[in-house]
Amino acid sequence: MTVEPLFSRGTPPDPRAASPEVEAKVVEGALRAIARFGLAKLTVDDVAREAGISRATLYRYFPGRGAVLAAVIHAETERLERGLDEALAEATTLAEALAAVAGFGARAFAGHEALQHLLANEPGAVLPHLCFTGADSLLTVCADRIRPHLCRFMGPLQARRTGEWLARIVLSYGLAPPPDGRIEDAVLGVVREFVVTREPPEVDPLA
Amino acid sequence: METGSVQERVLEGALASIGRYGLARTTVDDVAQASGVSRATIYRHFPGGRDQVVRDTVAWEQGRFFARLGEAVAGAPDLCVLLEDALVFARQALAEHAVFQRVVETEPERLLPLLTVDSNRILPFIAAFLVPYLERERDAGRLRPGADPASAADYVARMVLSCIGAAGVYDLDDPAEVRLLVREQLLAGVLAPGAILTPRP
Repeated sequence: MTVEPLFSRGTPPDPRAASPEVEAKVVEGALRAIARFGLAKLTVDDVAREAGISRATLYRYFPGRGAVLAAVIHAETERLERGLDEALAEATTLAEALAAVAGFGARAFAGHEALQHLLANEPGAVLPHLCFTGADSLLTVCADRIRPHLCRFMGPLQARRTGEWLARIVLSYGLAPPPDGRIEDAVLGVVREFVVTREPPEVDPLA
Repeated sequence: METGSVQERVLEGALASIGRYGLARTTVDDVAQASGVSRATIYRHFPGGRDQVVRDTVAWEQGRFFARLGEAVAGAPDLCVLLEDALVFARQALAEHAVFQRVVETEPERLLPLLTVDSNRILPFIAAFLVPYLERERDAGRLRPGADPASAADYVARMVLSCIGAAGVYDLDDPAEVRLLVREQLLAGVLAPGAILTPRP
């Protein structure tokens, strides 16, 4: 088994795709179904039922489980990117920007019911996308998205490295939560203590 | 024969079997053959049978990996150098670990849950290893004022583990980038600003 990156800026799943409304219903339905049943036993019927659309409609646009999952991954990557943009849009200082990314990331990870169901019950289905080469792709998606926002406060190379650093922190606490289970508090705490406190270099050392 | 050594022979044999057949297909018979320990003895030491042998072997080898890492870097003069050495050693040792490379490529869905469950052990292990080095930095007045060595050790342990697993934007084969990673990211908020000598590219 070779791991295809789960989080990547690929092409949308299908050119003859469903309307955005149907696609959104299918994605939401699939996420609810995964949160309830997991992936191994997930059927297209489960998704249709959760999405509130007919099996025939679902099959017309998404010929099988693989197509549904590709749409989910595409939609979730976009949601992650949009969420980062929104979290960062309001920040006026570097400290606010760092906390905004950390807080959004921690809530997105800890509050993602489908992801949490898989981590608890079918870790093998999702860990390849969050560790080693899978982590590299996820870190890249996050770093690329965060970089332009942090460029308001530092040079582009340092902005990219800092964006990636924040994503690492969220991923670490997401996969190995602190003893009290409060991922967001832990992430915000270390960002406040160990990231905000440092002085970013004036220029990019390798630029 | 001593119990410890029988167990170690079984674990060694199991590691070789996993390298040859993978996590899913390794059997107690394979392990018996590779280790020279009888099936009955294996079951006596590993009552959970095949699954326990496989699970314990992964945990044991992961523990050995980090113990070797600790030995390799223990003599470093300060925390910056210690972490630079650790990242270089770990990345290289992981790249050269044939069994890991094979299994992470072919059976990540089986390997990673075992590594992640066990990293609940590994994180405290790395943090405990780092605490004395952070205390030494504190005693030398080089820790950022107000930073607590124990919570700093937990944070640094997590980030080191993260960087060993995924190098991200850094090329960890390049010593200059390793220095940059350690001094401008990893320790930038842990040590006092003046305590970090900024590397020259």
